[in-house]
Amino acid sequence: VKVTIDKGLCSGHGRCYALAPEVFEPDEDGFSVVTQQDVPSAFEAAVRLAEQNCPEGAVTIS
Amino acid sequence: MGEIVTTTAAPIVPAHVPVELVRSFDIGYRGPLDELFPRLDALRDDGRVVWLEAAMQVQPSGPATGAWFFTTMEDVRACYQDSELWGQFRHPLFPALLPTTLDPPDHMRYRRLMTPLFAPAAVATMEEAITVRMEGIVERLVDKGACDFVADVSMEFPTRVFTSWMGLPEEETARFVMMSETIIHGTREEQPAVLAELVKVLNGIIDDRLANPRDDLVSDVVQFRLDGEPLAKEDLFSICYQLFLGGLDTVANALSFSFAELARHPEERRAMLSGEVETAQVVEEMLRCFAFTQMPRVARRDGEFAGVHVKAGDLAIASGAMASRDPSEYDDPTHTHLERTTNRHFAFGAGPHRCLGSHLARLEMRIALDVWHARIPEYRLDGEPMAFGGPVMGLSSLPLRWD
Repeated sequence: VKVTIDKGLCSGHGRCYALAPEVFEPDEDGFSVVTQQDVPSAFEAAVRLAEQNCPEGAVTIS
Repeated sequence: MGEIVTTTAAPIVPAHVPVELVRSFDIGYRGPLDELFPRLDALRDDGRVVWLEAAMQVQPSGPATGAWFFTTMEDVRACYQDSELWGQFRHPLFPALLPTTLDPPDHMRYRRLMTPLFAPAAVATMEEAITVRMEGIVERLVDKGACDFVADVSMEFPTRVFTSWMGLPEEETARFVMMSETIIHGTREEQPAVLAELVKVLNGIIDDRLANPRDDLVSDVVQFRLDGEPLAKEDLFSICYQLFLGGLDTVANALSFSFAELARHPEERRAMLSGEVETAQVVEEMLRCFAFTQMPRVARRDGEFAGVHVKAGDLAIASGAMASRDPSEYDDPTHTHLERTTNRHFAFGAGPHRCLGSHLARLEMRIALDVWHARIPEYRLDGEPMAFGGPVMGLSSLPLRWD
């Protein structure tokens, strides 16, 4: 699967990089950056958690 | 701040508000904790949106002002995110809060100055300083066998952490606790003198750090440059005032709600102590179930929102509790389930004004839970916890006892 962050919606809650640090990381302001757009299957479950825990609805899995 | 309705003058309901949506609900409730959230939950039965006719005391006298109040997660989130329709409310009786009381695009110019200081990596360097302070507090209490958690722990701990980071003298913790409590939860009569005292304290430290910068937060703030220019003194004050109010009271309330819940649920404490559930996950579930901020917004223009006509100047209250306890979003939302994995709560708000201190708040909560439970794993309520509502809800007393 692929994952993207809507930069217009991300406000830096940091839930995604707490739950799936292999796929998301904070930039210097605490906003999220995707480090692996094509998610390895080992991290799929973690990325789904990130999507379900983003208050802004900024994480999209396709 | 201090949005406690004290007048008895009859509220004036604007003509565009449908009369069937008007409620006399008292958002500034004071009473037993057990009724605080259920009162709010009950508003869901009234539909998607209501008009609270006496939501805020905006003027020093005269009738209270009403506000829209949204009952679903979708609408609360949309209110937080749509800063083009819903602007920031600046209380006319209190100083501006920077960057909080600014709307985009100015808001982000100021906020960008501050975000690196509160980013996860920066906050993580404070872990040891935070742990030492919580250990000191627990050490003094452990042999006493009882405490009022609100007075003895939940106000003192974040105040020590945050004022020492700012650069304020830690030995004056009791004074800072009093100032923060009075400005946020006090009465209109007692607020002006305390506010004047806080203005003096903050301007004093700003002047000192302008002349002699040190390794503390106020020193970082006075060195901010916006388009290459130093900030005006009043802007520096508004930033430090926001930091002071945001850093002390909010973590205190989060801790009080969490410990009141854990005191009644030994099985939850044991799941955390055994490592069955990580402390960080306990923190999230406590923040969700007891999301205690209900932030005001003001309509910047006329518009349609949540199925009603909104007029420019209308107030709205975006309640984290309504969003985080919405049954269409969560299973059994009014109870804590530590194993809950889907948890996009709104304890820190959302949108461009999302709580800047959320990463620090989470760290403080995790450390407080770990340090306390390492020394005092078993404890119980020793009386009924008492709570207050308003824009920042919390506990006024939480008597605990242990053997």
